[in-house]
Amino acid sequence: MLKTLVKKQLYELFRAYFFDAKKNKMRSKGQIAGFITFFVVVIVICLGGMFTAISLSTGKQLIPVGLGWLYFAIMGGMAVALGAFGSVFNTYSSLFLAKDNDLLLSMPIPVKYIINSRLLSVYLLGALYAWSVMIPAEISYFIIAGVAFKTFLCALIMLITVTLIVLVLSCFLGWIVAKVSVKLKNKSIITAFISLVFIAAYYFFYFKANALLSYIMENANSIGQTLKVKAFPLYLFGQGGVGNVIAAISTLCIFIVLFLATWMLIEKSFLSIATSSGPGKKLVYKNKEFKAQSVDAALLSKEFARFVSSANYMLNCGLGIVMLLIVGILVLIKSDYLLLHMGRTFGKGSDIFAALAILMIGSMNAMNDMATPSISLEGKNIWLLQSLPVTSFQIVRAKVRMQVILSLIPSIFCAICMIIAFHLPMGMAIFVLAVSAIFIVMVAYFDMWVGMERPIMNWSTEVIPIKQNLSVLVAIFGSWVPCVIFIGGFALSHFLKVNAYIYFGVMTVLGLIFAYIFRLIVKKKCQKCIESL
Amino acid sequence: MLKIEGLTKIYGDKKAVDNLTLHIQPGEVYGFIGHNGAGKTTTLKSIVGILKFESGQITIDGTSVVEDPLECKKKIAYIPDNPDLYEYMSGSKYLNFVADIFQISKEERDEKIQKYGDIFEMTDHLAEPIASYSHGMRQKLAIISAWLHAPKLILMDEPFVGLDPKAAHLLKEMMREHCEKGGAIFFSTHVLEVAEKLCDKVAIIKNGQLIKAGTMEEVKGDDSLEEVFLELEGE
Repeated sequence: MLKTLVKKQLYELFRAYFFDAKKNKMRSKGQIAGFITFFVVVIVICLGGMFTAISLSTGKQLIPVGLGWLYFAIMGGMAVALGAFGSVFNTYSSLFLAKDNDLLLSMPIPVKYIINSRLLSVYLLGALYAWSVMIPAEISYFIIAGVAFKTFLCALIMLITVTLIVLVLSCFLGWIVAKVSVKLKNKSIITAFISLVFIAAYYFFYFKANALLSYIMENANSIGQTLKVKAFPLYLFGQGGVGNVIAAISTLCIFIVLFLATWMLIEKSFLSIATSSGPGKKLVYKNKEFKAQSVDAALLSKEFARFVSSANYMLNCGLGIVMLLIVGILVLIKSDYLLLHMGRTFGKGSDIFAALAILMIGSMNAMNDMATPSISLEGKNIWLLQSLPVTSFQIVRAKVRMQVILSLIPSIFCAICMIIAFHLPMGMAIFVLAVSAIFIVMVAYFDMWVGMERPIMNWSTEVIPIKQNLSVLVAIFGSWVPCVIFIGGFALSHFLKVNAYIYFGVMTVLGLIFAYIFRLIVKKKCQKCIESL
Repeated sequence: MLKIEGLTKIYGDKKAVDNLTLHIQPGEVYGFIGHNGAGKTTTLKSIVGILKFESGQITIDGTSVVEDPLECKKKIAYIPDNPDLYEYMSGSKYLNFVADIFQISKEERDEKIQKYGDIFEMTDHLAEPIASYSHGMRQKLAIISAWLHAPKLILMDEPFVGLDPKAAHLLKEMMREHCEKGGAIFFSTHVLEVAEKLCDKVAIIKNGQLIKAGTMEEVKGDDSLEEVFLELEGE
């Protein structure tokens, strides 16, 4: 029974690799192999490459002076941070909010089997990220210190231990989020807020990581001594990495016990959380508060309601909104520092600052991809839009408009902050606003197009259309392409001494042309897409 | 009101609906019965415009579903077999959303929401999110939303499933009233007693093919509808 549940869970997790939603049939073996290879290459090259570089530079300074344990403590910390971050809400939604919870609970399946099968997908995702740090870290260690049987054995144990730490943290924090959520009225907004605090903390440490790492390197001995005494578990964990088998097994055992304790906590409250119907406070109906709207406005309101109803949707597809607001404020506060450093690095001149402002706004907007999963998120409700007297283009245009509005407002704020902070002249300021706005419209239609290509309608948790599929990846990375082209073109035009106003003018026209082309594609394809669902 | 001429819908190599022809006049409550997988839902979805079909013609009040789907959708209301509504909306927000789509005036929608909300004892629940509704409450909400814009033709797939006896009784009265005002209703059901008492006409479909259709008397004669149905099904 557990095997069946696990198979179902794994199939859901990797469904896109095996099933072609567009053609409604299984992929060929070649296609499956191609997709898996692509995924592995992305993980190995992007994450693995980055962490190999970090672990080699860190290891070269720490391992030869006998601080190999500190090296493993640092790399282990990174692995845990990367693996646990993001898994918290994945645990919450895939464990407690799965659409098929009711169905499975109604079957003669022990609750612990349901929990275990769901936790397996959390474990696998966490392990994937944690190993992309730890495997390069272990290889780097072997390169620097050499391979011995003991260290190799400890490396294997450590790989398991790290995944267990990630799982314990994800489960525990996910459980806390679930417990808090059932008591909240506006749970999605509060959950999103808490998550943003997490993200802010994460980025804070991320940006401080280099300074922190340099500080540790410079004071490695004294920090090592302090940690040995005041943070013994870290020392124990690190010792496991350098070949102390007893330390490695002890750490593993500690986290097995901690995992069992967390598992018992989840098992005890799973039913009450998964079947919770929310806070029982009675709401009073007042129809007077609703105003009649046009068809387009009604569709747009529906999209906004969908967006704010899901913390997952807001966090994964609207992170750029928050980034734009924060960066806008930061740019104003740190304007002198930025002007000095940007001037030193890229050269002075309002055209350069304007180009950098457009690049920053564009990059942050690339993180907004609400339109991409929006059709998939209709799920079983799609019959409603199909049966109502609205055109397919009205449906998708409302989704595009939501993305444009949600991106445009913080972008204008951010652009104004940058215009003030960088003392941009009126002409440049107009181009910063115009190019950014056109970029937003263009990307919104592009994201919609990508989302229409392979909608996933039969999901059991909304994380699948929002996060765990190829369309979202293509949308985000695809949105960065115009940013790269823009800045590359600017550098070239600067080198060729082309007037910046002419370059920005050309980019504005090109942006408009591509926005129009993407709009045409969306308009042409939307009817077939909506009808085929 | 509704004309289906030679409707054929194919899934892969299986004919889900095979050359179906049906005419429904204004004022008629038309029942559609058949075994599971007979093609009832496929037919209903084809009429609504949710499913494209291979051949045949469907017209609603003289307008072709294929040529002018939007105009057709303005004249109809559809209640599916499983009322999957927007869970992130409250009941009242959902009803106002539907009212906006059909461009119903503020006064008219307020009056109807209050009226049907009270009839189905839903008014007190309208401020709550649909996610917290039971299956029956969702079904009631779907029914209220269908009646909001005074459609000419109402299509329903198993409308009595999940309804409590009182709500089922009210729905039957509303169906009758709708037809007395010149509207038409086409609905599928497995509850043959209900079909027998409620319908003016009935059609029986088997493996995608219409095997009998006509007034209730024509179809069942002196037997019960259940007996006729079982006989036609080859039991």
